[in-house]
Amino acid sequence: MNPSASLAERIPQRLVFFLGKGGVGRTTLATSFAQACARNGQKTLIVQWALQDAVSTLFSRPVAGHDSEPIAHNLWTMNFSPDEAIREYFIDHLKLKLLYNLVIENKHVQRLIHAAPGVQELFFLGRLFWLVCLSEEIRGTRFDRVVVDTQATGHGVSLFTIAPTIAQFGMTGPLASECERVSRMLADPRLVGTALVTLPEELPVEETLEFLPKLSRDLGRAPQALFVNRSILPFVEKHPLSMDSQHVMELWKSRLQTTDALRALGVLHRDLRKRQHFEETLRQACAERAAAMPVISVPDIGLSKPEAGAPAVLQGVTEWLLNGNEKVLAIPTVHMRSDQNNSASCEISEDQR
Amino acid sequence: MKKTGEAHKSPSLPRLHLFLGAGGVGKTTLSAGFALALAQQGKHVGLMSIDPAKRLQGALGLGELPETGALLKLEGCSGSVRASVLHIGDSLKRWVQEAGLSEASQKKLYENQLFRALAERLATATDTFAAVRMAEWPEREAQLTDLVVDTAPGIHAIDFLSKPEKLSAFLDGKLIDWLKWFAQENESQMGMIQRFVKSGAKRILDGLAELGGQRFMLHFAEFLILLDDVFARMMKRLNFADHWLRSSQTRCYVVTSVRYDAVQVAWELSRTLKTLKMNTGQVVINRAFPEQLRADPAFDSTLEHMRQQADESFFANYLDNFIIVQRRVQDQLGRAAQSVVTLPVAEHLDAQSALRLEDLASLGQRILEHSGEI
Repeated sequence: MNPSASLAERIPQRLVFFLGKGGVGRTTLATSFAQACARNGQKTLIVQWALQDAVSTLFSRPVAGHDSEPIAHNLWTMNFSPDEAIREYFIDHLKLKLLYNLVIENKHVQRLIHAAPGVQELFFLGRLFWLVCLSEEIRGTRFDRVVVDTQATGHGVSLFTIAPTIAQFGMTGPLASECERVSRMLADPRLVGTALVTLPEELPVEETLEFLPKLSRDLGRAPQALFVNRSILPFVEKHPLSMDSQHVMELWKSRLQTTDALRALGVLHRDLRKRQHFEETLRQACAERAAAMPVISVPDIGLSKPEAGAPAVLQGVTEWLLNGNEKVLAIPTVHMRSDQNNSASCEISEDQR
Repeated sequence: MKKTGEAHKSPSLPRLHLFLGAGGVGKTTLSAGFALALAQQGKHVGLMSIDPAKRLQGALGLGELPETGALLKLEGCSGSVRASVLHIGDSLKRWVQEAGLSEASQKKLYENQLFRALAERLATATDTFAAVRMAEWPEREAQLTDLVVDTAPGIHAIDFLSKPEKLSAFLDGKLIDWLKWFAQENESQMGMIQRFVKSGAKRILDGLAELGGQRFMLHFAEFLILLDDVFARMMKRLNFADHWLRSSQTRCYVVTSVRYDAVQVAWELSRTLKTLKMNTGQVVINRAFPEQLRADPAFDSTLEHMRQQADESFFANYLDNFIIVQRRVQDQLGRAAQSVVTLPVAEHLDAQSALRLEDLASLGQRILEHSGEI
């Protein structure tokens, strides 16, 4: 299956949210998608909202802050800071420096901003609005793509319901218009798209199937694509995996010497097969519920390159997204494992920590 | 129910066990197993879970775990487990009822848009309120000897640990008092100093009103006044949570699986726990390669043979890969001089069939044994 032919057509929006829980590989997919856009000649920005920028290190660049930093040709990244965004909003945007100094910087108001759920999310969306709708006019810079890597819930509040929620509070004044315009932005299907990322495992599949209708309800439309990360399906098409664990155990039985070892082998085989099972379950459920949404298998790059660190995995995924590169699926048939006990080959490089 | 605060003075604080780690490494399963293992030692255990898979809820014998928790049916066990799932919206409503608000006030509160947003739509604000819910356990369960807490995935767990200060800083702040004045406008009851402070505060409030509008400010003030008692109790609980988290008895279990990203999160978490001056506790490598298989004298030669077979090369490659990644993960954790316990992939826990409590408990038992607490 070649997922790439029309990836740009499938996700044509300028602002694309990559959504998925921690641990599913959301950052890898968002970054790969952004890199694929950049290689297609689009100026692309990856917006993160995390304790620390996790993208720059993949490109051996210093950690980025709130301002966008170039990390590759046509590719930039930034890590959103609520404090910075609030300052920019009041001073640069509303031109209310005095009010900012007097009110917003007040210790007690700061405490409110940091404790109240929703406030930081509103400014996050406001920053995205600025990036896709205002920056060209104001700064003369335009990104063809803004790819957002964040949890669907920022720090507790669903990003897609925050504006309507706050709008109900009976606000007037500048914060009300801010809510209104980010709501308008999110409601525009030509401008804003979403992509889900999940894993072929029990809980992520359950959660994805629960999240799909919720997202469609909150945002008013279905996501553009669902990426199944660490998939084995693309491999299995090339290198069949015996579906019969009993058969595999028979093969190994005559060679292995202990029954404990044989039992453990069976456990591992069934464990691997389960990934296939969960992905098939997910695909079937999606076909029934959201037939139009493509489900894209992203191969578990580590399976063909176990020594590969995060940057190599990223490159592999990008190549797969760009042209379904068959090379990433090649399984080395003969391994040289003479260095198995040489711990030097097992180091994780410093920059990955 | 006991009066708030009473349990806080108790000399024998229940022991707190926190499970932290990246998403998908098995924190929820392990924390449930750990709670069951403690119960087998005769302990009376509370279990607070976040987002358990349906199969785990099924195993615990409860279709939908309630926010207040339900006692598990454990046969031949001297201890007990009360299992719960974090549903902050439901907890908030209960806290309002328990604060003894008049019916009229409750009605007014439920109609307040801010409260509705907080309770219904912002119900996912688990980081902020999890500590409040946690601190409630000793008040509600006089018998409680241990509380096992499954935290939000990844470095968000740090929010859970650092939020007590953030939220209490606000609840304790002056802004609430100012807003109350703003809504009440009853200056005759104020003393000289209050009136003086108010004139300063007024500038801030006027500034805020300019941003959000008078109507919003009144909504907000009404919300704060109605929740005054609820907030007061929250404050007490947050202070207690802070104290409890930092108790020398508190144990943290950092869970990782054989995945580079998960081990990085584990590393970050361990480091942050140190800077927070918390007990760093143990690192658990979950779903690891089974030692018995590696230990088989013929394993390497069999693997070599299988790599050459077209039908088996993918599986052989998978095993190869597993071993390489695991060795790297162990190296890295070993270098951090952590106490590491390794739990192999266990069939009965990951099979598509039903989960059994005894299997869960035996998993928890492994962690308990390794922690040297038996």
